Amino acid sequence: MAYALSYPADEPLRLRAVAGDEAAFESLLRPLVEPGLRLALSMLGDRRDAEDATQEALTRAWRKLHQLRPGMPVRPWFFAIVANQCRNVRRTPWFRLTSLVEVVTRPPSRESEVEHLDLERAIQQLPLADRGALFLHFYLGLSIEEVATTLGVSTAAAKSRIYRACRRLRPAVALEELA
Amino acid sequence: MNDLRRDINEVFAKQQAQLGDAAGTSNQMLRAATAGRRVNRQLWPSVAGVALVLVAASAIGVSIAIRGLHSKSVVTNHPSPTPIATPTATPAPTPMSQQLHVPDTTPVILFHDPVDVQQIDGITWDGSARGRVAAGPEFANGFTPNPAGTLFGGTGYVRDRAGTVVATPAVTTKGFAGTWSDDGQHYCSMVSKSLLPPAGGEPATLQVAAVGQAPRNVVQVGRAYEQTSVGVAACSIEKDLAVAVQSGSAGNTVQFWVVKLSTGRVLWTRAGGGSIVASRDGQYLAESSPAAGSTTTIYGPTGVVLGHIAGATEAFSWDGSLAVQMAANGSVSVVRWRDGTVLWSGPSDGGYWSALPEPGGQRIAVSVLDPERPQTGGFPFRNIYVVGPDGQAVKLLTDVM
Repeated sequence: MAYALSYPADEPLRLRAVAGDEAAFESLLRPLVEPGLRLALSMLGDRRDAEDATQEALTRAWRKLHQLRPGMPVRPWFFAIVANQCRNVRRTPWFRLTSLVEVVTRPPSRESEVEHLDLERAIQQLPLADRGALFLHFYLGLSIEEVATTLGVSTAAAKSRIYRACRRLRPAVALEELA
Repeated sequence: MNDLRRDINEVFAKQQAQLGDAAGTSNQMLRAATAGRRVNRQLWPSVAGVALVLVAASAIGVSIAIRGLHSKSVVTNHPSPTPIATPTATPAPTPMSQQLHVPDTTPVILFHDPVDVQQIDGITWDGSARGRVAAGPEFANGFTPNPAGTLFGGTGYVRDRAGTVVATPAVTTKGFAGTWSDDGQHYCSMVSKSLLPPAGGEPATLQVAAVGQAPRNVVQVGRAYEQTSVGVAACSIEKDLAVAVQSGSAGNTVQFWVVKLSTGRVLWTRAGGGSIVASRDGQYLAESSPAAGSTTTIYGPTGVVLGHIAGATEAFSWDGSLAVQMAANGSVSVVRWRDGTVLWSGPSDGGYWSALPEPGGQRIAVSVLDPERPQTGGFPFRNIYVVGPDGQAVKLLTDVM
């Protein structure tokens, strides 16, 4: 699943949005709201929490549009705001005691679900940032560079984070296999 | 790799299925954002998202379900990776009705009743007493107990075990905004002028307050930004110390300060990029590298490096001598960090969840997910081990949440 944007084509929208054009803002962000919501869900594990975080991220994006400079990719910029919101939600160490990823909430009912149960648990147990990196790269199809921008880390660190997460899930995975 | 990618995406897709068609939600959110209103349930837009469910509880305690509460059993000593099994409990169909009967000063672990998350239950560290503590709808969103579980705070309240409101601290965010002191009667917090700091941030101030009294400014340290801020990693009345931690946008630690509470003097500070865990008294700080296969550096009271240990430190025992370490593969152990001795290794098939030091003692409780019990509600099933300094471990709770 990929949500690509044509960045050059976005520039007129960006300019209008920065000038306060709500319709332009909505056009610019609309393709990103659902993946942003899904990113939040992957990090927080609860739909209500994810909706709240995404809503707040959108509100902040609207207020902070001036920070979106010409040529700056919109997608990682917005996802970074979403990810920050999720981190804020989880900044207390006790949060994880009550908010769980839904992947293990349903008892397995099909053979395929049974097969994936271990992987589900392993993914659930990944550190928040690692799980987010996996989701961004694998599920949302972001490039390593976009993952890095979203998470506020270097490209090497983003690649390392994804690699580390993969190694935890399947120890045999080699670094070179990362695209 | 392609197989792994496919499998990972299948897991994510399964999780994402709960969203269904989010198009309607997306449009609603967009309109709300530009209209400056909210469609969510946040109470304070300026700090929205900060702590939707600021939960609670002592590192372990919070959502331990009593459903599978068992009598304790000695499970392991040094270093034993596989705890012995305990009998499976019959799930309780109703919330715990028996009141917790222990002296008010006896340390307990507080947790949500698994049958009714609006109810808080407690258990003593030796498992000799357990029971209902308090109930109310506000508890469903979490609570933050002091180390001994004698008081617990939430959004705008601090209650005692009788459920009586003993303080109504100012509301700056959802949940209890403070970090409890080791005396259990004070708490530290970071405040800034604005709930929503301006671009570029604004100075943050460390405060300390006795329960029910006005807070006292200690020192201005760090800056609060719109999306990141300064937190308190330790608050110790006993040692007159606090540890303030400035977080970066990626959740990393930018800098931390060890501060004398009585004078506001910064005793030492360090800029770093890893995660910081402090002992309850601020005497020891563990800085874990963010890199894969991380190691942890232990700093002493003056900032001197006392040692290095493998893995990432998650918690210290009350006296700071033991550390709960999580390895890169997710396995958990309790380590005497001065010599690296592994005292106890957690079960290999359960993921580490949280840890809680015993107030005034040397034991430390470690919570791990129960691989045999898939989550069916808002809380995961976990097993709770209490590990002593000799490596003896007691499985205090089984299949709890």
